[in-house]
Amino acid sequence: MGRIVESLVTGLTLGSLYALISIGMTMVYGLLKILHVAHAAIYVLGAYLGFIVYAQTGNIWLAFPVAMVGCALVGYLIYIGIYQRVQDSKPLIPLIVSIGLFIAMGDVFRLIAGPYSLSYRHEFAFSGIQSGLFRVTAHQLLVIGSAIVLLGIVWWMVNKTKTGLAWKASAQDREVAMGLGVKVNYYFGLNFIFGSALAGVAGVLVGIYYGQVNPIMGDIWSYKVFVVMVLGGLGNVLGTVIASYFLGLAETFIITFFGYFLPRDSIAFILMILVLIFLPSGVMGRRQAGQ
Amino acid sequence: MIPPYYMTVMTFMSINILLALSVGVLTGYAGQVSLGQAAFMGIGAYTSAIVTTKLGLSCWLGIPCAILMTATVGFCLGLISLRLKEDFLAISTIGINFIVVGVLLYTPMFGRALGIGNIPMLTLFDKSLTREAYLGLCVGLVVAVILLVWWLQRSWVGLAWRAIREVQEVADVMGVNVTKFKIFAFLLSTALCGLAGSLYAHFVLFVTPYDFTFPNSIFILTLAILGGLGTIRGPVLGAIILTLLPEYLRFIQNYRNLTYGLVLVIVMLFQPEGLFGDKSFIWRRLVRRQAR
Repeated sequence: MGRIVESLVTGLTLGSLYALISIGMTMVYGLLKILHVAHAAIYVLGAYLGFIVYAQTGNIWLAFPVAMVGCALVGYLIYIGIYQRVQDSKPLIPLIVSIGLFIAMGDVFRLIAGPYSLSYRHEFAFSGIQSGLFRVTAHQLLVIGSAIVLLGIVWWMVNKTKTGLAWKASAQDREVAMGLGVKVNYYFGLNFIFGSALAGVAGVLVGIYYGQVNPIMGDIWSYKVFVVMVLGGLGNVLGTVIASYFLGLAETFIITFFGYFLPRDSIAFILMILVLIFLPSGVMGRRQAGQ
Repeated sequence: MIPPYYMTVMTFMSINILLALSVGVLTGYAGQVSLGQAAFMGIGAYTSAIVTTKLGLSCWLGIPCAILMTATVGFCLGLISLRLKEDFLAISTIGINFIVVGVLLYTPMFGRALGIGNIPMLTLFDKSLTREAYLGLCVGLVVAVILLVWWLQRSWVGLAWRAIREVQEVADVMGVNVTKFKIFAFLLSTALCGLAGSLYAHFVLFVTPYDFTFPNSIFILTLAILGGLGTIRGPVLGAIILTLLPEYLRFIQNYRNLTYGLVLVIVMLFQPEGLFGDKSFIWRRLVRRQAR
């Protein structure tokens, strides 16, 4: 029983992190039809910014806004400087650009911060919920709690604001949206800012949760996010959130009860390829971004 | 006599040329994307290693077995590619790369993280091939592959591939057998990777899963993209440049990923045809000078 509760909480924590990282990428795909692999590098940037702020000031709550602003800025610059130039070319070109950007940024982090892990010792005054059967750490509660708040904000942005409406319109048909007076490029830029800020928060959370930051922490996640996106039906925000939690729980339970017969990531990719072949529009069915 | 250092570099260069051509065939001519070429190279290398060590068969059987094995895998991938296009195909091949590395890391038969060692050198009349002879074999195979690809791309096959690359639906309507030619492109491309992997295994004499991870696939892609897709000279020259560059500019070794990443971004932004593609800056200069 205790084991089940602990797996459940671990799975939810993992799912929350997947959701925060993949929402930015899914929204970019929904709007621009670009697989934004470099998004994972932005998440690593967030982790490092958060670490630096925390190491300098000792204040964990200051780490979040700094990481959000830094990531949003870099995300916006990537859109303006690079994606805007290639968004109308063949799909292969933006994908290759994005992968190139991702591995180059990974190397930049390694060169600046060193190839080793930097440890992130942060203990909260509140040590979590402890019972005879199971324990839930404060870090897990922090991750799950922040995810709930941020996902609520995303839901509100997409469904209740004019920005969300403009995103939906440009995702459905860019030319028509433009013709109706939607400033498409402005909203695309906003989308990058918003998604990158979420990835920045996720970076800080992963740093706190695993207690370390290192230059290759984005590698596995960047490709894992593909799995989440495909499962959720590409470009579908709600589907992505559900797929994130599904994957987080499935991975944790498979490992707790069956052990490692393959690395966790291989299991996820086998699942992804099967879904791509047999359910090409994702488990959630065919829907447009933001619905 | 050539010093051994240059011989090693040239052998690796031959292997890289084969890998770059595998991308050249698949992405350049047939317009299909694979980001898992290192995995197919790995399958080739491991097949060769197992045939010659665990099964104890003749060392000359390693290469054909590797080609056969990877061609089979390529056939399956070709079948998958009939359902998936562009981005989705690309991320599936990334997935395949992770799965293959995962299987190699977790299966006792493949030696887990330690890989397989003691792979025999190729022998002829009970004598191991010298490094010169092995280099000769590699160069010979490279020339043969270049001729094969050159012959294919100017035949009906090449025409069909280019038709599929431009607009697959139109090619289909015009009576091109899309299924057949797509599968053939995948089969040829993965077989080339298998050949390269097998040559690598018999040269380095041990293989580990870490030689065939996703970053290696990106490296292989960079070779072909830098030179220019849609030509034969592009991948070949790209492979030569990127093999020699780190040897002459030692400091690049420390910035490998940064260099390859930036090469990909800059080439795609400013010269999507690569350095030596038909419409690229350098190639137009060269052709114009010749015309004069």
